[in-house]
Amino acid sequence: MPDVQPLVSDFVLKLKRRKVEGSHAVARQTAELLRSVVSQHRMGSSANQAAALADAVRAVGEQLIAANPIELAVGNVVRRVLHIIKEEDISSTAVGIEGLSVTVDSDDEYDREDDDRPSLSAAVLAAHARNALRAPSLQTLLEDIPVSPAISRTASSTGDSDGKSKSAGDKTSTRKLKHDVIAAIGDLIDEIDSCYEPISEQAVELIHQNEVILTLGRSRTVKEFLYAAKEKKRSFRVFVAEGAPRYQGHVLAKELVEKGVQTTVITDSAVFAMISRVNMVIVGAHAVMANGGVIAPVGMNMVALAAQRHAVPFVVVAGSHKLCPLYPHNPEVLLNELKSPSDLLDFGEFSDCMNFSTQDGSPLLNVVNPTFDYVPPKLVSLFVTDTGGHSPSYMYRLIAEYYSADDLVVRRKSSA
Amino acid sequence: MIPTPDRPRPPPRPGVRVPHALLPRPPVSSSRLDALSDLDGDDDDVDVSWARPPPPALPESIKVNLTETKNRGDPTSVPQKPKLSKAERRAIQEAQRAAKAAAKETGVKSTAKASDVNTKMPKQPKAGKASLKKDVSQANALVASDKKTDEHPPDKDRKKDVPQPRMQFDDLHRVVKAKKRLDFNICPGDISGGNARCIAMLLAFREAINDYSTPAEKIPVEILLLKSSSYVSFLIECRPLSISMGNAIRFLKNRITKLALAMSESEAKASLQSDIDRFINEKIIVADKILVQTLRDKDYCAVLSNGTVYSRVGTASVAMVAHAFGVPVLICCEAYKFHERVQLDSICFNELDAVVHVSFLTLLIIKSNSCTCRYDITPSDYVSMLITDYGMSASPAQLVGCTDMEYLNHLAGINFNFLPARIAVLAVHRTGSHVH
Repeated sequence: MPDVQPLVSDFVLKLKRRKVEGSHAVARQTAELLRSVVSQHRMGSSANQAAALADAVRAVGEQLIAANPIELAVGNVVRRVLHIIKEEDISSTAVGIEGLSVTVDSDDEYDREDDDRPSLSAAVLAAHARNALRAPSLQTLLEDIPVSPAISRTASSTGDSDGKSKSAGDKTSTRKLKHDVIAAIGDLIDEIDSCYEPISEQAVELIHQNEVILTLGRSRTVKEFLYAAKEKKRSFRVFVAEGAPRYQGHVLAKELVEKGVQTTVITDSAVFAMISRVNMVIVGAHAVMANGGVIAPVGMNMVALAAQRHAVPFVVVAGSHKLCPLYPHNPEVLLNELKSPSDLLDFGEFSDCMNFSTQDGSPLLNVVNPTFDYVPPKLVSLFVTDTGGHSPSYMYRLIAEYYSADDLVVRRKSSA
Repeated sequence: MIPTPDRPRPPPRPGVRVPHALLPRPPVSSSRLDALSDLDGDDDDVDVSWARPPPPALPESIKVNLTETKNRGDPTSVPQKPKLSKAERRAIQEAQRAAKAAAKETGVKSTAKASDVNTKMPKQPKAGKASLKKDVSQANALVASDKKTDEHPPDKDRKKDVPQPRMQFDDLHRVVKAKKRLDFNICPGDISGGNARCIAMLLAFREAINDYSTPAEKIPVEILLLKSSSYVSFLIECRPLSISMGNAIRFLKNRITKLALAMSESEAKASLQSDIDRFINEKIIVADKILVQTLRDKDYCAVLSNGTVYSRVGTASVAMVAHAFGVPVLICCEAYKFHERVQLDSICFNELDAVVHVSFLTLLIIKSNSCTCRYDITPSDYVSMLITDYGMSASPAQLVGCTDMEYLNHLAGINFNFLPARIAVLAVHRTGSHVH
């Protein structure tokens, strides 16, 4: 893909240098880049078009994730695209197998194949494969035949064999696949862009009258959430913890005051003192992990602990592009990044303490300036996402809907 | 490093500062000076010029009367004296304070007292003060100053007519100056840290006792108690007392009442002064040395009767997170800071701190409160161990309860001197969980 490589390199460089700020922007740009990758990809006439496309995406995705492993939104979007490819492939294969009957009604399939059980037709296999991709629901559990993983594999293989035999329909089907994938990625971009509306609509259910809300730092999702509540004439006041060392809380306070929200700025150290008078804590997140744990700006763990201590609900608002299928292993170290000490200390005052020319060469003064904090799921009361409100123990279900299990490690498969 | 205009500067870390000039000079061991110098931070910016004899820049009306009535005593108007002098004193205090505020505002740190006592109590200096003081105390001061303006002209007239009150006035004047100096250091937070404030207050009291001279028939004890109460209320107006200061005042009043009636005035004064010196030395300085030096990171913490720790804001957050990660939290606190009060949350009893470091423009736009409290409450279950000069205990509430009883016994004068070894033994006996 010579055409798209410069774009990829550009973006990799931007990620490496941390030029792109915020998971929303990163997710959007990643999705757009992958859409370009897909559209530039030349679909060969070989057997498995979808697999080749997925491989191309994986190759690019690997580079992007390696550029900034802490920015989990990159990996999320890459895995979403891979899942989209798989899904589109399944549905287009199913259409191809059944020939002209485009609309496959899964329920009808189930009714008909009761007596057909030993010999499963390709259509049924395709339907099963499609169901396997969907989130497990009570309906599918009750009606489905429980051999889904094997069936999905055989479905794709039968699809492949069928596709191989139908060489005449290849061109149209591959073009259709690419078209569908690009359309689906466009949907994904729209979903990322418009994640704030569905979240903000839930504000009226959570914020009643005379509420006192606490937040830390600055999150655009929280801002939109509170704006929506203000629009609906809910009465509340907000304590904004300033969020050292970047003090983004000041910016949020300014924005809230512009909308006429009664705001008070407090230091991070005053959170424990003030939280006894607070009704609800509403915060944003950098990423939400598979176990329901939250990667959030530094200081959030302290707020969550204080909220738990005083039995104050701790609500995390996050768009679905922040949902990560990985489990956090040692997140304080592995999913964290240490920034420059210049945020905390003045180099002028402390230049002699930072002297590296002592005997063993290590300075006596260390400055630790982590970017993120990990909040364990037991401290979170509620997740408000664009799909609705969920408890932390439900997050794995959303993951099953958006991602497929074998995409957890994004690595280019050596066999095409 | 690229300077960012909006990056707030961290506030200057206030050390425990005691103005050198306030320290008692006569018999002082070198070890004590060293100890005090340990506590001393940067005292270059503390104005010690008041230690010199009072400058002649006094209001004309008062100056005239001073010289002529210094040594006169008039027994006939004794019953009137306390009331007049108090009201007068308050008026002078308010005038001086307002003048000080005005002088501070203009950037001139003048030792001169109110250049014009007749000026109306200006609302501007008080309102214009940059640092957030307690609004309550400001309101009180404003109210008081309004009252005093009305009383002031008649007072001045009376002054010209009745020379008697002047006799006490000179002493009061100097004493009040000492307290003024002290309070202007306390109010903007120059003297920060509970220990430093307590020491400074006790030294000011010491000076007051030194300067004090009894009127003829009055019993020293009564007068001293009366004066100390008025001084204390004045101090409270400037800034709420810290817990250590409250305990020190209680101790002082106790000592005053215990003064033998047969003592002459000079003996009483000497005894009180030595008591104060010993209190400072034993309770504060030596106690600090007994505590493990490496763990001392707070210059102000008090322990309440239910085991909660009342200290600078942020302590609770640190203790909470440490507890969540299984890190032991050790609180070091001198025993004289124990208090029998109980408190459940940080808001009921607190002080406002300086404004959060926000850029000026942002603050204008926000137009809202930056509400920062100065202290907060750490619940006792976050504290792994409490270390005091009386010993160590894993259950802070128990230690405070036991120690308070003993401390109150000390206050009653049963046993003033204590040896750390003995107290360690006592701690074992009482708490049963002494750890070496």
